Amino acid sequence: MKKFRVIISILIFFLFSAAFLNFGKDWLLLQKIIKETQLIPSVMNLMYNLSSTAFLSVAVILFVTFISGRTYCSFFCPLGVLQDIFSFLSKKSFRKQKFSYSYKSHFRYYFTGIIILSVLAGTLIPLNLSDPYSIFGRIFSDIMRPIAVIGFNSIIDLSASVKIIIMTKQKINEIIPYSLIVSAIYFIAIFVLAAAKGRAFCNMFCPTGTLLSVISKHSIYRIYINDKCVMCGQCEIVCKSQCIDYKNSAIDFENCVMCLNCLKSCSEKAIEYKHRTSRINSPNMKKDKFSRKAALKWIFSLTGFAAFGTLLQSLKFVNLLTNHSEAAETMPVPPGCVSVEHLRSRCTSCHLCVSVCPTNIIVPSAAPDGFKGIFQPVLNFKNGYCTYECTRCSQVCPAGAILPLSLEEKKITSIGEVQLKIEKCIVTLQKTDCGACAEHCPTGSVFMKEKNGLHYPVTDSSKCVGCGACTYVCPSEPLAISVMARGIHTSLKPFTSDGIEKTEKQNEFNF
Amino acid sequence: MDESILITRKTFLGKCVSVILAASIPSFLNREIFSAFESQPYLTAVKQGSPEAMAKAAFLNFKFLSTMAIKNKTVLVKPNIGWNVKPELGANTNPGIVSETVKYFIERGAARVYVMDNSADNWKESYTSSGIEKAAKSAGAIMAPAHQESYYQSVNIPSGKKLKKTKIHEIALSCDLFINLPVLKTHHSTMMTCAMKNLMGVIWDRYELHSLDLHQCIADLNTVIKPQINIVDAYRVMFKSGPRGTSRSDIVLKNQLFISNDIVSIDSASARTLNLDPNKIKYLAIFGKDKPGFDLQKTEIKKVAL
Repeated sequence: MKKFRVIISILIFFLFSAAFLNFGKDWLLLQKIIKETQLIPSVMNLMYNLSSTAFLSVAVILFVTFISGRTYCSFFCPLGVLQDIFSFLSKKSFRKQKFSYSYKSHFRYYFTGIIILSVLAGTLIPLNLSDPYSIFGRIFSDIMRPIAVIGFNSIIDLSASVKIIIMTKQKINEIIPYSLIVSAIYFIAIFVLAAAKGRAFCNMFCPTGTLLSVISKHSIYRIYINDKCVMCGQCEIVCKSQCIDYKNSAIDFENCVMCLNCLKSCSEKAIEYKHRTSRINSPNMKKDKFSRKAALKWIFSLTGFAAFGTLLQSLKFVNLLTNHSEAAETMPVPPGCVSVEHLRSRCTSCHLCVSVCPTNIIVPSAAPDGFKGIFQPVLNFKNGYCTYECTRCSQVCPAGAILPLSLEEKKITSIGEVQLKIEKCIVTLQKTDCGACAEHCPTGSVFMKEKNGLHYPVTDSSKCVGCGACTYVCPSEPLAISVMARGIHTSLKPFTSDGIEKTEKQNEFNF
Repeated sequence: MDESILITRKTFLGKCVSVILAASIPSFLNREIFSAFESQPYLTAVKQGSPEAMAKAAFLNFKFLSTMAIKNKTVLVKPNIGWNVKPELGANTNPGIVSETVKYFIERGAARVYVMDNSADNWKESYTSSGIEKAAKSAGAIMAPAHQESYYQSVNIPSGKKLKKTKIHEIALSCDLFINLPVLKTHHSTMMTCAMKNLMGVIWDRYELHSLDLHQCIADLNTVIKPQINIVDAYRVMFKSGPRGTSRSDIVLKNQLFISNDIVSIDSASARTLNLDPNKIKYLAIFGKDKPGFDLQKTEIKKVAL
């Protein structure tokens, strides 16, 4: 069974890595599939967008957990697998890990409670910093991808025979130091934690793990120590979650991540994975013995929690706290975001959009802007422009922060408005033709008008989608044309993009 | 990765040596990179047929090609793949014409046929959505990338007035035959984009040209890159909103195709096709005013109707 887990999890790990490295070929289908498998983004999508697919993913994940325990943590969580890989590597290279049972305090429930309250209060920062999928995404998108691209490109440079022709070099996405450094700290911290304490992250900070624990406490299939136990203690040594107390033949199943190491380690077949029996043998369960007093306490605290959360949400507490600068509210964000506010309130900062953007204009925000979120994406038109025929980022967003757009919808979604400073234009300054902006404009909102034998740019902002092509190609320094981002995206009047071409009746040569 | 496109060590070393030799001879930079058939301008114009049929007829009726040494030569076919749009929008060269051209040169025994363009939009997407990547590959060509500066080499332009130096794609520098295969379109600021302006697709920094007097720079560029054959795709002609186009209503189905050994003749003929006076197209006037092909009087024209 452990073998099965290892095979599945390594497969999952490779698929997630491929999706986030987004290297070489097109991984869009894979990215579309994996975005549905993650709990926290799906919860955000369900909560704020009432998405039916997100409901399905959440329901399936919770149901599977109710049946089988936290299998999700060992089989499908990419960060979980990364931690297992770290543990494995440190075991091979440094020392043999020996785990021993440790009683888990309720710290993580409080921690997750704070995350939930903060989300309700209107800030995603604690969630952005602790969602395992997003941490994994940031590690791969911000650190691994540049490393992979640099490595790949230097291989091409070395094997110069390929350099002359073909194997094409990849473009590195813009490196945002602040996001890179934080991701690097996470990378190291998770390595250290995994090497020293196994799945400590999962049972201390991880909100996904905590939410699943609430259910796995009552799951139908679980792991038991039976009468064949000879008290050798092997299972406790290999338990990554340190949830086996062999001396009491007890397993703290809510902390079990279902790695199944114990099943393999037991030479006496004394550990079984089987249907729940009436035996209560969890040390925590013994402590939480159910009494009227305890039940009342739970009901009161939960009601209080819910009431407090509702209060925070209705007050939009963070909005009161923060004084958003105008610039932050009108940042350029990908089409499909609806508004900056929409993105801010949903994005878990997994950076999948950063990885998939073919022109690398989606970048993590360069510094924390406000208290609403951290590392959330913005557009940088210095790197390129938003491809008119592309909807990739909207298709891969797991949290519904960038809503899926059809190509027709995307082509009329305006994320900004063109602003022309004619006095800075090459044509005005040098009296020579240029026209780079009009040349690149996909909608015809920038076009040229002749005056005294020269062609000057003119803009029609009613057609502008804010793709940034004109800004990117403008050769003036400082730029003569730019895009003023919209805080709330608008929908333009549909263009007659599929008119009919004319056919000439008399087809004669004009020479 | 397609195996046919990999270069063997031997040819690579050969190329290295030749590149080093070439670089060590200063006179290299002063010579004209492509020797066009300066003598007599010929032009064959074909009309009324599918893009493929017109291309075939053009090759058949263009007398220059039959005597041309093509066997074992390296050929660069340079279509316009500037934009990430579908073939119906006419912003890129028709893929049918590209594939017929590639097929022709392969049948004539060309050692290798490259197809490439430094796209204005994202290169990968443009290669795909223009249909040219698929058409060229199935015809046996190699789709070369042109999206990174490392593929380009610095070249002096001795007779350049504004553009003194630019970076040109290494295939454009090393190929034996340069086949210029533009699509005829109007252009917001240069009035027309056709054969001469299509050469902006083999240089690295096209925006430099925009900032240094576009017309003069195009003329300067044409003093150093001289395609042996120019083929103009005037099947779908963009009569407004060029060069990118916004809708199919910008297109007139002209059903024509021109082939010439002289870039001035073919641009002059193309300008007339767009109902423009060649004198009004500044880069063409600057470059071709005193060349024999400019007024088409001295150009030997053959007209073919299918």
